[in-house]
Amino acid sequence: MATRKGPLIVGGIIVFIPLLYFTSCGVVSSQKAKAFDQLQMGDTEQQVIGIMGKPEDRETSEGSRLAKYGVAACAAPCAQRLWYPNGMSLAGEAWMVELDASGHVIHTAHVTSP
Amino acid sequence: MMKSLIAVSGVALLFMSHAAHASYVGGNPLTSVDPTGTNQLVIAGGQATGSYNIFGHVANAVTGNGVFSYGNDTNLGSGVQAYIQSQMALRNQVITFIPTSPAQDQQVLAFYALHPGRNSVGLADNCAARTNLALNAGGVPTQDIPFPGGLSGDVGNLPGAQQFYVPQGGPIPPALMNLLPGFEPQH
Repeated sequence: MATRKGPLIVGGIIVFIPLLYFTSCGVVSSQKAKAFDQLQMGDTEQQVIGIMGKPEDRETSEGSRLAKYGVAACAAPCAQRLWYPNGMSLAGEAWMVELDASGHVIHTAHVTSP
Repeated sequence: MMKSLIAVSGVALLFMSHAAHASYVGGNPLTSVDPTGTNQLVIAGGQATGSYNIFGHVANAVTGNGVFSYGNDTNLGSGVQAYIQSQMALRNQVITFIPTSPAQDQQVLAFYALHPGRNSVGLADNCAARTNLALNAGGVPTQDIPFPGGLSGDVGNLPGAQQFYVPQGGPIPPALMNLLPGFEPQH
């Protein structure tokens, strides 16, 4: 009997792990996308953080460029970028919020192919 | 499926292979420019430094109409040289020059007109799938490999195709540099 259960357990794990991954990835993506949709041009940094949470990465026009996101450098009028990556995504999905020198949102983007 | 898997595993190999030929100048591409002045570039990049995206990125440029890069927040139809230089800071690139006709280019542009969202790609309909579809719309045959490295290797085998390797940090090979002005947007 035990010998019959072995392949079933292994098969279950093989199916379950990818299923868990894709479900988790989808949930993270969906939650971030929902919050991202609430952002508006002109929002302050505090409002952005209130909606999206603390960014995982910050990029400034004066600091070094974050190569991993694959987009062009932050240049005027962009003074700062807040990055919210989907850590579950193999493709490197991330949400970007650009702020001007006064700390207000001037551009947002959902990066899907960095 | 097997072809796709081979394409994935071949991504690193492809870029390493081209790295070994960084001084590529054999077959001057200037001699194979379409006399009508229209052509395409397929701009494939490897994994960006620190990125989770091991597959890299691919974009397409059309003579006189700029670059079409979906998914990395690049304005569609923006400057080609600026794009290559910007990506050059992030990763190695293999750029394939493909001779096409004006009619083919118009069909490719018509395809892009139907897809105006610069970040409107995802896991399945990704940057490589979008580039494949655009080329196919223009009658350029591809094997629909949905990965940048695979697509780059694929189009490199097209008749008249010429490939250039641009290492991370540069430089852009002079022969490619001479071609780029023709791809800059004229509008």
